Amino acid sequence: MRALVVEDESTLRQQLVATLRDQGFAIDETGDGEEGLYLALNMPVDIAIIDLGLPGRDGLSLIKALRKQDKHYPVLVLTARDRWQDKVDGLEAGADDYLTKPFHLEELLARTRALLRRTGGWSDSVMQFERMSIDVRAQQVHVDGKAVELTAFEYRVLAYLATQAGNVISKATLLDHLYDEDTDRDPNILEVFIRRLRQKLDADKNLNPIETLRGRGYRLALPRLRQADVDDDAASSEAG
Amino acid sequence: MKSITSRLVAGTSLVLAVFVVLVALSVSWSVHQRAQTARFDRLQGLIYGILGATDINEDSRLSVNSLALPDPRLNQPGSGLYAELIGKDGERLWQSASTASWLPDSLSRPIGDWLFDTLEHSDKSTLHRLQLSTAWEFDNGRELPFTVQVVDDADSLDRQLKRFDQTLWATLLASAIGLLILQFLVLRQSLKPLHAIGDEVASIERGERDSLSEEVPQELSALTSGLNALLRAERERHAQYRHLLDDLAHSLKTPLSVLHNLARPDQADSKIIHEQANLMQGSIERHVQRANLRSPRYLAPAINVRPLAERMVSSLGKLYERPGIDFQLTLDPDFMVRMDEADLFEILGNVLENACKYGARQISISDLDGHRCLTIDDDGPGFPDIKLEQLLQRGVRADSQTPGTGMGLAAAQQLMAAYGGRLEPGHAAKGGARVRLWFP
Repeated sequence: MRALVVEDESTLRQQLVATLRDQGFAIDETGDGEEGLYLALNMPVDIAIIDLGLPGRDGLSLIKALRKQDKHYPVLVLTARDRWQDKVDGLEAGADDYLTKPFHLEELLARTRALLRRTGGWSDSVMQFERMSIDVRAQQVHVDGKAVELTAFEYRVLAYLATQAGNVISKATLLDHLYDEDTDRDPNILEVFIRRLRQKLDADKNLNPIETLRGRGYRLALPRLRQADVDDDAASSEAG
Repeated sequence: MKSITSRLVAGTSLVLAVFVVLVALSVSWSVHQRAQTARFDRLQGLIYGILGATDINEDSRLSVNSLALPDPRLNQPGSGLYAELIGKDGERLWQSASTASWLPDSLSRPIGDWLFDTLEHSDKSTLHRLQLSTAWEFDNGRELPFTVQVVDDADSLDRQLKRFDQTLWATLLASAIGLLILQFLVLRQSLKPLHAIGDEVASIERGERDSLSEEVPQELSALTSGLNALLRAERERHAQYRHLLDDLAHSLKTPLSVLHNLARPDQADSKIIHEQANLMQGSIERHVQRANLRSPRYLAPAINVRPLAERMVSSLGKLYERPGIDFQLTLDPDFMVRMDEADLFEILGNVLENACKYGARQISISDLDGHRCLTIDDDGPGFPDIKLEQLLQRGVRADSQTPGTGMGLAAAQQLMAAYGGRLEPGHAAKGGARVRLWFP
């Protein structure tokens, strides 16, 4: 998952970035609105976290601009303005949720996860597939009811493929969404990870969770179990 | 005297009264004067005529040829015009055939002297008399002194003058009254814009309009545009004040976020840091809210509720996309309230989000009672059976299932109260919660 963080207060931005990295996000970050727009339009962003009061270009106009360019990834707005009018303005500009300052990082993570689940069409924090489930909150994977131990990177690969379940993801795209810009990215290492992931998930060779489409990429092929009517417990927002 | 109208009316009435009296007196005086002069001239002409008709006979006695008299009335008995010649010793030398109502005594005067007077007798009519003492000069230089006296009954002329005076006074009085009425009407018409401004100011205070009409007479345009500028400045000042506080809150909240997140649970003083940060946050919110409550209502513009409610609903729809909430809006498109837009957003946002948070899936927003009330019904669990008024007390939560919600309804109620309205919690027909917003 690749997150864009646009926040001009550098200490807070560092906290956000550190927390998100901890959770396996690849990060693009900036404190400037214009640069934020450049990153928003040119990076393979999965979710954007944008402060409203920014130098260069304010958050609202940044969100409007990226929506105008047909970017549909979820946008979480950070704002110190907790009046409803400001919230409505933000939501109308194209934001999907807002978080008023001061906030706890746990709250931010919960909202981020909820937004990502919402865009993937998941109503619960557990993504259910046939024989496999991924708990995004606990970062745990079960196959046939048994827990599978994955490294952080392996989990990230699987979680991204799971949010894009059914779609073919090229190696380059996968790398874009997993690695920061400045990291050394080697497609061969990715192949190694995918192989290890397959072994862990499919020790008996009868599940084949990840298909390789030669020359095109990978696909999580397990049928998805939807629970559309399950109540969304964490998506509700927090505002006084 | 309090009103301009009564001052002006009193002032002009006084001036008009003095004017009318002076005009009447001077016109009457000059007319009387002219009448007197005309009378003198006529009587003098008569005397010259009589002297012309006078001759002296052989025995040095004066005689008057009655056929040559200048006025036929002198030969007409009872005509009221009478003349006589009186000798030096007071004996009558000649009398006209006519008679007057009574005869005054002639007075002995030096020769060549005219006497013109008006004689009044207590029980008889008034007479005018002209008397000339003169002398007949004989060829030998001897003189025969005598007096010519003409007496005229004043009756008819005086009656005319009296009638003229009456007409004069009546006409002037009538025109004075007419003028006063006219002037009062003109005044009322001219003061209408002032009354209109007074009414407009009152309706601004009641919150029914935002500014004074600029279409006023030239003399008042400085006043109205000045007042409008003042109102605008006051509104701007308020907005500025609000923004300033918001900016202050904004600038404090970002570092507060940092502080909150710096304190890890495993650190020694993390609890204290959290507590202090929470205290700071609480006081920021309290002060911003309190400052916002102070906006006077007359500074608020009239806003249309429906588009605002629609925006609010579509935003909430986005936030609560899952599980999805069905909003039903039944609002008159002309439902206007006088409120700061941000405050109405705040009230609707708090009430509606409260419903969303407590698990409503269907929320209806409708108006009733001639645009004064907004009813928000939901199909959620409804308010608990504690006293409904208690819900509005700051910090009392209807239940604690969703954290951070206790303030919502209380804040909305405080804002409604600040505008002179109220928030009334109740039970919806379907069993959910009902909140009624009564606007002032």
